[in-house]
Amino acid sequence: MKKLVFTGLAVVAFSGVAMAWTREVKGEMIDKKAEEVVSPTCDQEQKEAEQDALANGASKFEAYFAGAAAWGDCMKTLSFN
Amino acid sequence: MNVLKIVIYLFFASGFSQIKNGRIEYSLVIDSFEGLKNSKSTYYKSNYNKAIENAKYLNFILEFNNESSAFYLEQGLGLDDGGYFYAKIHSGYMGKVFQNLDFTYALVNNEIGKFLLKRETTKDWELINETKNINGFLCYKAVGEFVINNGVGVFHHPVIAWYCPKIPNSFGPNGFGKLPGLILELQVKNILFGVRKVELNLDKPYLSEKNENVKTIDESEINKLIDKIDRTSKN
Repeated sequence: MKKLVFTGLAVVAFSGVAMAWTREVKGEMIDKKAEEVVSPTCDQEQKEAEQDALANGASKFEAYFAGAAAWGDCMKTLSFN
Repeated sequence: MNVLKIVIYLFFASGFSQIKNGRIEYSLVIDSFEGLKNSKSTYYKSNYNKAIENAKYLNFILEFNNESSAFYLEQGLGLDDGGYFYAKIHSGYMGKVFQNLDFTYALVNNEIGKFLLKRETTKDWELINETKNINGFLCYKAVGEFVINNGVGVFHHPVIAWYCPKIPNSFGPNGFGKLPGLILELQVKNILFGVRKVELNLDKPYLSEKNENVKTIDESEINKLIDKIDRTSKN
């Protein structure tokens, strides 16, 4: 009986540690995936805004900052979500 | 037309050459334009609309003497920081503009770098036989073009200037000038600088500034720098 109890406690303890370790790894993986999704999306927004500005006759200077503003707003939007 | 310029200048300059310096305040209006609705980027459209809403909060100053001038944005606030910034960018203002009788420079000082950018604005004005009263000054109309070559295309933006020969200084907003009188109202495509206040012969006149330690570059060089920053940030 004592052996059974001890074994049960050991299993629970071992499982708890194993799950905690798994959770930590899962957390890392989720964060990495989020970065990969955000960056190309906002880069694309930056490029589109720059292209729109240039197509409408803006200087490169104006288009650069229009693109930078779009990138910044995109990052803000995604971080709120 | 050159003869007309000289005649107008001499007629007014002879009577009003006592204007030695001044300070002009300009308001800004940014209008919508054809092409904005069809833009792909929702951020570009939204930010341009914020620029339109916030333009009225920007106040530009032109200080001048008989030899040179400085045009700059007075610090202020918009409806929000973003809107104020967008209005500044889309006004075509790149930094404090220094003009003398030969050259026009904008002092660029931001993440692109710190430079004196030698600018080309409108060279060949057509003087039109039209007048209007602006702030009590009789002004004449001139039309021209502001050409932008941005790598995507060459754009000839229409320019309308109302200059006042009674103020015989050939300066104006944002580096435009070389007319036989100070420009009190300037429209470049959908961007309008309008006069708010005119002060002449100040007790503390504008003193010409020198920017000796700042490198001078031209438009093609700054475009290359911007292309380089764009490529670097995307790698």
